[in-house]
Amino acid sequence: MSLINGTGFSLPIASVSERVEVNIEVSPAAKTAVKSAIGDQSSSHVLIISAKAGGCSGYLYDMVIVERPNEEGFQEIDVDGVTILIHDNDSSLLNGLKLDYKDSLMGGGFHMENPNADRACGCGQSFG
Amino acid sequence: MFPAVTRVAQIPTSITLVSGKNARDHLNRMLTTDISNDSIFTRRVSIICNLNGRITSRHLHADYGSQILLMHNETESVSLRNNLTMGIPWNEECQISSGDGAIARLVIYGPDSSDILDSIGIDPADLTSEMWVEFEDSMISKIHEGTDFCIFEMLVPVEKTSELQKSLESHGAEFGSIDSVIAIQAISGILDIAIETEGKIPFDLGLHNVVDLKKGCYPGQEIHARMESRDAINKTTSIFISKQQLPLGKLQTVTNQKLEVICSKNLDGNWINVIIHQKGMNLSKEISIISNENIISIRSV
Repeated sequence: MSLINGTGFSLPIASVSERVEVNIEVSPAAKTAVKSAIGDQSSSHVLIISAKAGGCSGYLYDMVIVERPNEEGFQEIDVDGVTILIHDNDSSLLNGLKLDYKDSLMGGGFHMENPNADRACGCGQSFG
Repeated sequence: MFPAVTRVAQIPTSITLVSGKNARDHLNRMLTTDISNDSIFTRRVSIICNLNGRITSRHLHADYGSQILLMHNETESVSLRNNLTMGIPWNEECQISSGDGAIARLVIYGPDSSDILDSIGIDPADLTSEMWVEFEDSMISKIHEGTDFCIFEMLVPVEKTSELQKSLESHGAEFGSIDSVIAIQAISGILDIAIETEGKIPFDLGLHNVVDLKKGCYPGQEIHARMESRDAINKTTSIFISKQQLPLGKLQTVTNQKLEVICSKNLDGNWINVIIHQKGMNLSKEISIISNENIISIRSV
């Protein structure tokens, strides 16, 4: 496929993101829910909160519980023995985040209140 | 108005390469259409919109699987690349590169275009507008098949462009201007990516097939869904012919109807104009437009 293997392509364009020291608030209900989700794997697993491009408002929240990653560039927040990681690239978007949890049949689950967001979508998954 | 001879023209095009294991996922989250199931060599047009549902960039895809080439207007390069480089998740592999100057986009059109391509070893019978087909180091597709002429599009490594053009010319193709190739595509219902559409609502341009309201969330999706559900799509785009070039931008008719000219290109002495107008406008008669205190007549093609 020599059309794209030519020498005319640039090196990858780097995105410039500002690193800020992240502070987040986790409500008691959210702490309970996160601890319950991680279970007895809190020594090896972490909760990563991140933002990715897309969604109806510009960015999408993502939360995953994974084995502690080897990659550098994460900031660590300890929440009652559970480690929450936020990547430096997302730090300016997520600094000041308030993580809550609503235990209800309709609209239940984790909720994010983000002081950096000018807007959010109705389902709460997207912000901008 | 249809071409009497077959011509080949190179349209200046910017190139952005989205590559990596998660290139498709990252791009798909921003597009108004779902590309998750696109196969290798898919050719399609896509758009990225802002939160107000207006186009920020419009692109032609050449899909190589984990590498997707986007061809677009040079004026959209900065906003497209900014959009693409922001928000790549920590756990996804995706790089954005510029390919400006690496690939040339040629358009071959005319009554003998199929025969000329056949004579240089390309079988036009297998070509469609949905897929690219490899030809040596290049890619080709057939983007229009009419009774009088066909239009083909080729992506060629820049260093091979001159050789290919000479080969086409030696088999009977003539040099074509950028204006004429954009105009002939417009008449054929194709809005070339060279036409600036930044800031426009996709529905106003007739780009309904590039907006998938079932896809789920994308930037601008709420606006598009609201427009569609409230039957608030009031404009459309048509092609008009005039004896004078029209200035780009908003104009009014002598009956106070508002129009917006997004393209005015010369084709064999006539001007082919791509105009956004209110739906329901009477296109069967000649329309008089006020432009700089002059009256210019246009008629629908």
